[in-house]
Amino acid sequence: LFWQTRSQDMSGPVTEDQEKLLDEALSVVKLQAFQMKRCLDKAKLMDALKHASNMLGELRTSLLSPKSYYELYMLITDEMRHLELYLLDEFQKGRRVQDLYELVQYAGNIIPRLYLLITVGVVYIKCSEISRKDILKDLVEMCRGVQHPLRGLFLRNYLLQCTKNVLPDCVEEEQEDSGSVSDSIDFVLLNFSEMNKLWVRMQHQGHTRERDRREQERRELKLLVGTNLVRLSQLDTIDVQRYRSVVLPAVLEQVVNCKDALSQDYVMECIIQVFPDEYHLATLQDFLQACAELNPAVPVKNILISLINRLSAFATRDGSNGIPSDIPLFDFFSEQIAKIIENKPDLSPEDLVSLQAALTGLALGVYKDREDYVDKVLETTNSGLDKLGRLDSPTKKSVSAYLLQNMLNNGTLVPSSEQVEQLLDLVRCLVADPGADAAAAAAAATATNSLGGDPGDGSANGAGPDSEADNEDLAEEQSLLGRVVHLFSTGPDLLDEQFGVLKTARRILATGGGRRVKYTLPPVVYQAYQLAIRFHNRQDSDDKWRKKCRKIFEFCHSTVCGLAKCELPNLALRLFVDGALVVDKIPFDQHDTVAYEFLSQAFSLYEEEISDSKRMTCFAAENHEPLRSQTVHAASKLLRKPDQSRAVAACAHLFWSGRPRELQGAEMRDLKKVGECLKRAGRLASQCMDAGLQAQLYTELVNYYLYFVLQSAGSNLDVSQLSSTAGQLLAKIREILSGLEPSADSEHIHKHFEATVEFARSQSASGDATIAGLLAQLEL
Amino acid sequence: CEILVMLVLVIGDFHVPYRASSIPAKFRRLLVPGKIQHVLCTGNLIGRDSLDYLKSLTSDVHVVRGEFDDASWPETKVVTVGQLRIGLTHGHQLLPWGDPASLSELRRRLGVDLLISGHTRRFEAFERDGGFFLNPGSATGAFSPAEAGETPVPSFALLDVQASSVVCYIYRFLDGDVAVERVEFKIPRANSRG
Repeated sequence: LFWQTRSQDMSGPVTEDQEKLLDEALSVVKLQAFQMKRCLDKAKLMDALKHASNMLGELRTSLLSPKSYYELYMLITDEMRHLELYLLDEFQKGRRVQDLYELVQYAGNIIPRLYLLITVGVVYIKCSEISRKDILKDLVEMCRGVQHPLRGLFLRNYLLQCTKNVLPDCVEEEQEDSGSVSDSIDFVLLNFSEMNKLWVRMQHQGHTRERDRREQERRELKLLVGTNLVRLSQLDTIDVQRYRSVVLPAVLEQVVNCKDALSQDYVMECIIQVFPDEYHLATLQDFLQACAELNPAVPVKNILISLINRLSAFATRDGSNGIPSDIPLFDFFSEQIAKIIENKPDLSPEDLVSLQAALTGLALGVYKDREDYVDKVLETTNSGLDKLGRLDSPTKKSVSAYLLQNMLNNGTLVPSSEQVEQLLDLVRCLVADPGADAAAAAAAATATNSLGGDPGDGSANGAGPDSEADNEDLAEEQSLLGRVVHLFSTGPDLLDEQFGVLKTARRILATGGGRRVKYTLPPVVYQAYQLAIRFHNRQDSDDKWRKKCRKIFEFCHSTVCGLAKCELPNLALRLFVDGALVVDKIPFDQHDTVAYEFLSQAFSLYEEEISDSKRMTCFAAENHEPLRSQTVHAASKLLRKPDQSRAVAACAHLFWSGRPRELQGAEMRDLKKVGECLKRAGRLASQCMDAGLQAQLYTELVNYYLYFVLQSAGSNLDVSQLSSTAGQLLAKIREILSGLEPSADSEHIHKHFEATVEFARSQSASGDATIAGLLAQLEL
Repeated sequence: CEILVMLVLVIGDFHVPYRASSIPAKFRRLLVPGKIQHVLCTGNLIGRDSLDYLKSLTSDVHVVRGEFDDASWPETKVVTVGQLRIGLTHGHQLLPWGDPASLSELRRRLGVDLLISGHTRRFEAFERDGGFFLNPGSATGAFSPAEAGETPVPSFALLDVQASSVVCYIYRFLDGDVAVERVEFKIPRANSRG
């Protein structure tokens, strides 16, 4: 319910006039409709018809915009239903009105005449009077009498809507002159081509300066034309044969010959959407041939892409039989696209790429085992782009970026090492600086532990200091590249190949240098972590999985070390810690040594490079004793006292929730160490000069104490020490707070304190006797 | 009196490009400009494109820093929407990660009705100790080393802040489709924050 959009009104200079005109017309309609119904109630048919005719006369106007005309039309045709129902009723009761069909033709003007004729004609058909075939033919021909585009379109739409359920849908005539599906097809096709002609004619009405508005108005009416195709698709008796030999050729002839870009664009798309995919498969060549003959202003690529995507979806849907093997779908499209590229010298690189991307999607979706198809696409893209001339660097970059974005939007996967290489070659202007490739690649090949290119400064060609904008651009394009790494996937089964893909990716992306790898290599590392997990999950089917996992972590270790060397210690730290977390979960041989190695790397990075207290907390989830005490040690060495206090207090959690191997996954709950940490934190807090800050720190500490006291409820741990210390702290805080000068900060501290006490009280009153007992010592 | 619609998007842990390539296309189709008044982001966007995307939805975007974010966003933020005081933090700073009692403590410390946190990449919505807690999960279903065994599900939440209650809509991307659930919280009138 949140997502309904409000339609935007196209307000022109005459909107107010339009509203006025429409309101006037609508009130006439309502009045006449009322009169008509009254006459029908009194069985005065002639009078009713007169009123109906008056009502329909409003549709003769030339003053209304398509939108307004539509509103008027809807109201009138609604009212016409009453007339139709009345007549049906009369006929079914045997009270045939003599010669009604001829009678209504005496209505004064052609518009009311034809609307009435259609209404009556349909009644006749429904009551099986006269020949259905003849009436239908008569009606569709008679409509030629209205050549004004807007009025004609709506009139023929009325014809289509009224005849919706009476079109014959059988192969052979059931009765004499009742018509068969051929007659229906003729009927609809004629209606369609007449409507299309009217629609096209709208383009040329009026002033050239109003062209945009006319085109917009035409677009508003496109559904009227499209409904004919929908009607055809609803005739069940039309099978593939008939579609191919009768229906499609006629539609295509009309579309191609009208030479109107707007119509062609819409109708071709409409054909794709309205008819089933099996029909498209059977008529592909005819359709593609027509595409080649369209007005050059039509964006054929959109039509092709639509069709390719639809057929891809059809072939890969659950339960589908796929593409029949006698239809070389890929070749058809490949040729067609090649033709387009040849015939359109002004085809933009973006258009080329989007066509190729759709084709790639087809290849990957439908012809998974035909690796040569994807190769072919990448090749043609490359040569296509080259043929488009010596593109300058920014253009090359934007085209490459476009290709990557396209792949991301479509979720196009790159399923092998070779294709990763091809793709990265294609977008080489994004991957590395020109010239950096060869040298760096050689260096990277020999030294697996270092990354090619200059660490920290990717501009190996001495491009000078980068502007803010350059950095932003780089970040954006590298981010794209990094995101695409997640599309490098061999699928759920080929795990060894996936490792190969990641190795290839790293090798090539490393040539980008320090500025780039910060975006592009972490995705490789995370993909590797996930791959290790998948190997572990597959342990039953692969007994070499342990060795393979180890190799993966070695790969990650060297990659992350390389990143650290590029002056990215924070990033490397995080990656090491995350790696340790993953290793922990995978029990390959000596995995705890590997985890320790990752963590100690992280730690040394931390000690050497970083002094940010906040980042400390990442160590909390590990479970190795020496690192635990090191963490506490590091915490107390932080620069500022408040940070030290907070960090040491946080370490208490290490000794509580840490899960060392010896305890087989159970929490440590080392109360003694917890108490020590908190006491130490308290001492550090007491050394703070600012009273308010002290109070804040103490309050936070009290919350820590509360946490552990409450956590130990139900166990046999003796937390009386903790409780009493907490009680002492509370007293201290009260003392400080009473002496504090009021200020925004102190008010905040007060609130926090009150909230803490309130919390403790509520816990104590919660009914659990042991908790109450523990908290009693706090002397609340 | 006017009924103001106050929709708040709660989203985060994108991890683009490090751990994911983008949010699911079906999410993108739902999240369009002009529908949402506020965005609260739990952090770990990483890349600029995620931030730009959020900024395109509305002008009032609040972000807190995740452990991978470069930018100088705050560790915590307090935002008032209607009658609701909301606290926002990433959550990697709270130990143990995702622990409800620690979250509860932070809520008290910030003095808010609802505490939003992220980091664990698992969707949570619960009530505890007189307050409400929400974790929108990861918008991209990014890989989480700490929860390595589980298959992540992309998710986010949408809050409809009304006069005396908050309706929370939970959007999850499961088996190729968007599934929506609904949870309602009553905003406490009398509370200890005075």
